[in-house]
Amino acid sequence: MAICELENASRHYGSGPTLVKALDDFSVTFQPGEFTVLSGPSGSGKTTALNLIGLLDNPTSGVVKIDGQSTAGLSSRALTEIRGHKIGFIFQSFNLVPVLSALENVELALHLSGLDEGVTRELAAESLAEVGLGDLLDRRPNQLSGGQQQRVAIARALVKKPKLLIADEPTANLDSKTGNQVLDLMARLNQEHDATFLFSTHDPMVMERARRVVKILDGRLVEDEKRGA
Amino acid sequence: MLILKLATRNLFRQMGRNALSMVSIVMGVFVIVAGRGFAMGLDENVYRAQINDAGHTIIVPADYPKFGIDHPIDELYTLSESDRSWLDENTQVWTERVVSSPRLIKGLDSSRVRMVAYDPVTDPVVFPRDEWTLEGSMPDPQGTNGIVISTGVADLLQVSIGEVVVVEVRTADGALNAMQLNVTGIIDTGAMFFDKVGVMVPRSVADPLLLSTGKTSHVHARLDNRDTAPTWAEQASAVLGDKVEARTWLSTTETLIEAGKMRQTMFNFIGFALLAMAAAGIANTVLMAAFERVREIGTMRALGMTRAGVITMFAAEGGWMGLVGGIIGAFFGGLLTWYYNANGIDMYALMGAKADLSSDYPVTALLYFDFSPSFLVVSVSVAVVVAILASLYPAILASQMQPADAVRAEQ
Repeated sequence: MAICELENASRHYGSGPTLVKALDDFSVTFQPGEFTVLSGPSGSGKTTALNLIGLLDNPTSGVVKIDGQSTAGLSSRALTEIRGHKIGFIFQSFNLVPVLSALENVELALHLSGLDEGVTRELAAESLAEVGLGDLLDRRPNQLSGGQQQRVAIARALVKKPKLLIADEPTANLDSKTGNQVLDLMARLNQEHDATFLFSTHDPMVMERARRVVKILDGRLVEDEKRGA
Repeated sequence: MLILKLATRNLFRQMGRNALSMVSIVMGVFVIVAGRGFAMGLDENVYRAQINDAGHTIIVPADYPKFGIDHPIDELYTLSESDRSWLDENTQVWTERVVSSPRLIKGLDSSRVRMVAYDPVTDPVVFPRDEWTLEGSMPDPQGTNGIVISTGVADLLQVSIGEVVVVEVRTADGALNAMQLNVTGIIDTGAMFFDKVGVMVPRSVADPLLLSTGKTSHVHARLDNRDTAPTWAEQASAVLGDKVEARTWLSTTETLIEAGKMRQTMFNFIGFALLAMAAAGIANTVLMAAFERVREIGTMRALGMTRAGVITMFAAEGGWMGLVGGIIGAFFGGLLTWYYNANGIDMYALMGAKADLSSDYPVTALLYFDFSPSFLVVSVSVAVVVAILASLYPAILASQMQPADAVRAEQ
């Protein structure tokens, strides 16, 4: 079963002469374990597509299905619950909470998905150890390098074992060496966790590693290239 | 718990701004706690002064003046045996006094005074004298004619113990009379008006002077329970007839107590006005925090935080400000009321020099604040509730941010 499906999804802003079709009649399906890149120039609709897939926004028309379940008409609380359990996010600017330590940032994701505090600490520590930060648990984000912060963000996204992991330009704020290390890590975790990794990026380094590239232009799907593993 | 921890740490992100918001809460709670302590203490002070000055109940001629130095001597009454029996049965202790307004003369100086003619046996039982400061001694009823004068009279007429003064009175029959009396003591009773204009003489001395033998102007009584005084007064009026009037410590002080309530209302108003200002400050602080942390809110929404979770987090931040500010305000307000509860505050210093006090208000020289630990808890709770309510509007605004926009907001 597909982990995510967009069926004729559109996202329009404004109306009449000011109508902007950020995404227009866009259909795509993502299977479990994929390592896929959404690519396209700025303003092409990548971020809008990720917002719809991540249930951060609702389509103007069309359907978004997560793990076989249509999200049309679901309440904000129900969408939040799906996000909390099935989708992980990695952001370009890491988006860590500055007043929490690395461990607490990861714990926060578990806490928000409803797990008891008794187990969150252990799981968070394991997740940070998995991304190579087992000895920096108590560091706050401002005491970590960019690469380390992004690793915390990856640990935070993966700790609740989501079926879909959305990474929005994850290497954009990293130097190439660190970006490569982060990508190595994500590739390894993709193999180990069997989660679907979905990237939005301009970065050729990410494009090279992708096993599937979905190209978007003016809000429409223009190419869906599948590569060998 | 993690959300509470997060809310707590967020308080330290803009420490200066949050501290400024808390200052208003501190001030509001301080004013409410200290104001209540003062106002309630003043009420109790009035009650205590009235009871020390007049007992729980007082029987005077009908329409007798409540305050002041005018004490009509032509309206004295006589208690019958049945009246005395009724008083014996229905009071803890009681005593009779004759109060008059003679002129006290020393050399060329003179002044009107309030002269209390007392029964040396029953008077000290109704009016315990352990709080009085007495220099010299009370007059010996069996000895030479003696008088005790208050510190205010002694200062005014420059009278010392052992000196002789002349008391010039109008008798119950309307004639003029006078007598030389030896000053045996100078007293400070703590009742501000009496201490300014009062003198005391035993009935054995005053009755021949006033022609008041067997008569009385005031019957003072103490009851087992002061709260039963209003009922007692109704019964006394029925038993003693309409030529006399039974008053209680409550009815005598009701005007002052009403004034006290206005004072309490004023303190409450100021306190709540400060809390309202604090609420506006907190709302502004939380709103600014919400707009500064848009991306963080978006991230947490993406991670699974519900709208209610966002509201809870910001309301908790406001609640913390209310709690910390409330505790500090209650601490200092409580410290002040506790200190003045233990030591009292000098009313002379508060109200001006003793000589300037011209009204006959029942007030004692030392005012003890009312210290109530439970009210400290109440005031802190009010501060927390106000702060949480103030945070709700910005918290709701924060919860309504679109996660898609919020996660990518510039910080």
